[in-house]
Amino acid sequence: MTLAFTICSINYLAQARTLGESLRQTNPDYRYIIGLVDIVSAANLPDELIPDYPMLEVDKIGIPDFGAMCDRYDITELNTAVKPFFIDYFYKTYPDATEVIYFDPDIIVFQPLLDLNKALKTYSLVLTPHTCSPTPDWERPNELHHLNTGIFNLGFIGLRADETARRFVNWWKERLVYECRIDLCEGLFVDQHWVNFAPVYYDNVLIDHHLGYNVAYWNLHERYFSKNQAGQWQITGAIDPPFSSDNETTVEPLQFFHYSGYNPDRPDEISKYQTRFTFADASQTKEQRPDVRPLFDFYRERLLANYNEQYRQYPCVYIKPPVILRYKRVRKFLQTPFNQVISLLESH
Amino acid sequence: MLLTICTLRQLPQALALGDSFRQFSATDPFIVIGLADDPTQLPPGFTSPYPILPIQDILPVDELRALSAQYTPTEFAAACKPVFIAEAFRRYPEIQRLIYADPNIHFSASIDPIWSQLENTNFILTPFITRDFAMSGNTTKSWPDEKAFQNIGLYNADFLAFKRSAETERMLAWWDNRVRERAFINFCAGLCLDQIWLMHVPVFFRNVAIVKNPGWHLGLWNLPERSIHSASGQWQVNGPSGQNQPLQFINYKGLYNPDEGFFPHQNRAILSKQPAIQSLIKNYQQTISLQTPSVFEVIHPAYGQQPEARIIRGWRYKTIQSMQEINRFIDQVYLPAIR
Repeated sequence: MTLAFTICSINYLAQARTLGESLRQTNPDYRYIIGLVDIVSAANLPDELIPDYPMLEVDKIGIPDFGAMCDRYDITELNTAVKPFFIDYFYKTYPDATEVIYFDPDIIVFQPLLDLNKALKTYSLVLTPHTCSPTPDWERPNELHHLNTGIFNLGFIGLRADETARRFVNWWKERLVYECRIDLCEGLFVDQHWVNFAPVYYDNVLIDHHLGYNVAYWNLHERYFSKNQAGQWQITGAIDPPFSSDNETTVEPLQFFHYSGYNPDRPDEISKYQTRFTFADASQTKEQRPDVRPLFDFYRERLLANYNEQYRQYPCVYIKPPVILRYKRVRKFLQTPFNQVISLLESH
Repeated sequence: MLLTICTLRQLPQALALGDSFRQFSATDPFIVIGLADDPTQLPPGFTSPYPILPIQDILPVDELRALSAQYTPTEFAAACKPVFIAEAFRRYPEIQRLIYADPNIHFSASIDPIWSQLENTNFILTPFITRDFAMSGNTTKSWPDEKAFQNIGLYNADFLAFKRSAETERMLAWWDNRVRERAFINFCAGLCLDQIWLMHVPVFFRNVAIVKNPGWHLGLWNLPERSIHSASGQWQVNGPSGQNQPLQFINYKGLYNPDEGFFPHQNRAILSKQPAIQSLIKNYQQTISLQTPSVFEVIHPAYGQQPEARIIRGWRYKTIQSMQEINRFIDQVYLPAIR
């Protein structure tokens, strides 16, 4: 049995339901579970907002000292830090789950994932790079962002339930107890940057170059969209990519799309995290991508049908008020003598 | 062929590297030294046993000047690496395979296993570490930790192997483009020499081998995961990915000159507890001393106008560390609001 899961809070259940709906249509043999970083009973949801998919609350999976983790992390950090703990829980609770696949809630699946299923028969881990080829310019995001935050996008990971994958999950869990923070200067970016180590520490890791996987704003430059005669979305590589020697154009079917940073209230914006593309732009300062627009419009329509407006009103019970550090000037003043000593020592 | 890149100061180590390569390379003993420095500064009367290819012969003067102005000597040498490798392939059309090695590297077994590894791949990369360090929560004081390797890149750019192919050409063109403007050491910006760019190589390019054999690329940073012993007159290495592997090559960066490399403040490997590595270092020092290093040490690098970061040790280093800790505390401590 293949277990597919996502992780979100109640405010993102429209996304999780849309993902579930797409899986039901394309991969009905997968068992789909929503890992919930929230408490359902506290929200008192009306009937239509109770999803038709099993939900597993994060406080039920036995994370050691979970309370301390909640205190340490903000909501993004917490939602990402629990990922390997869910995987570990599934390994232990569902011994018949021979494969576990994680999808971010803002992903939808378009096709039966036959190649992925096959890959997970041989490989312990399947990872998808942000981009399979050099980025064409220094717009956001570019290769440097990936160097700082992780080569692979952890909105997706496929794992076989074997010894190697279990060792990886245990190592990942250990790291995320304390170091699932964002601190680029210290080499930290939530759960994602750590996974750079996967192909270095473990053999049998597939870096999947399939153009139809984990399609998102970070790889649009190498993926162009059209529909084939059967009405299925397919992807063609860029026509003249940078640093390419051969011009073989590959056509691959779209497998799953990741709508990262998309806001259905702003249907004209691809993602709040990118500056490279627009759907359409009268001033023509950015490359226009009318080819992806229908994929976003479709997603928007599904999100709204799945009660996005209602769900987003629910605050997550694990959200804490942001820590505000007062007295910045007093702090600076107190540091002055120490900074003077440091620069003295460094210059002599 | 073997290609190394050095400044005049590093020339004795480059020559020793060349000698070790020649000793263990029956099939392909061709060696070229790329000089990221000014050849007119060579000591009078010096003749090199290996052809020297100066950077002036490759880059136009204005490009050279611009690179030199923006980089430190270390960054400058790193930024020249892809163009040196591409030039070597261009200049020697009969060469089908190329090993790049930092002058700190020394071979100690037949090169053949490296060539045979290259038969089925375009590139060979060697990771700094091949197995997770046991870390206890967030209290560990051992350094480098895994995060330190994330900042500098997980694959060591001091050893690379290439096969002549369209893919290799494509990779070198891309790499060269990136390092001309972005070979600075600036962790916050995701930059670290030519090296961190290698993180993209197994993703952007096809047929990349990541070799984890413990006998390959032994260095200060992986001593904690490996152990060396001698068996019937040969050095062998045990590590996470294999037992009793012949010691193929060592990188003496940080072992020969403790101020060189990324880990002058490492406290994970305790050299005094590893007699095998101590005797290897001793032999290496003797080998280098035959190359009259004192003549070269005084030559200041001609390129790389920006100052290198100073290595501070002893009480100064400890004091700076504790002051920085106090500053971090002051930044983060909760101060109640006064109303």
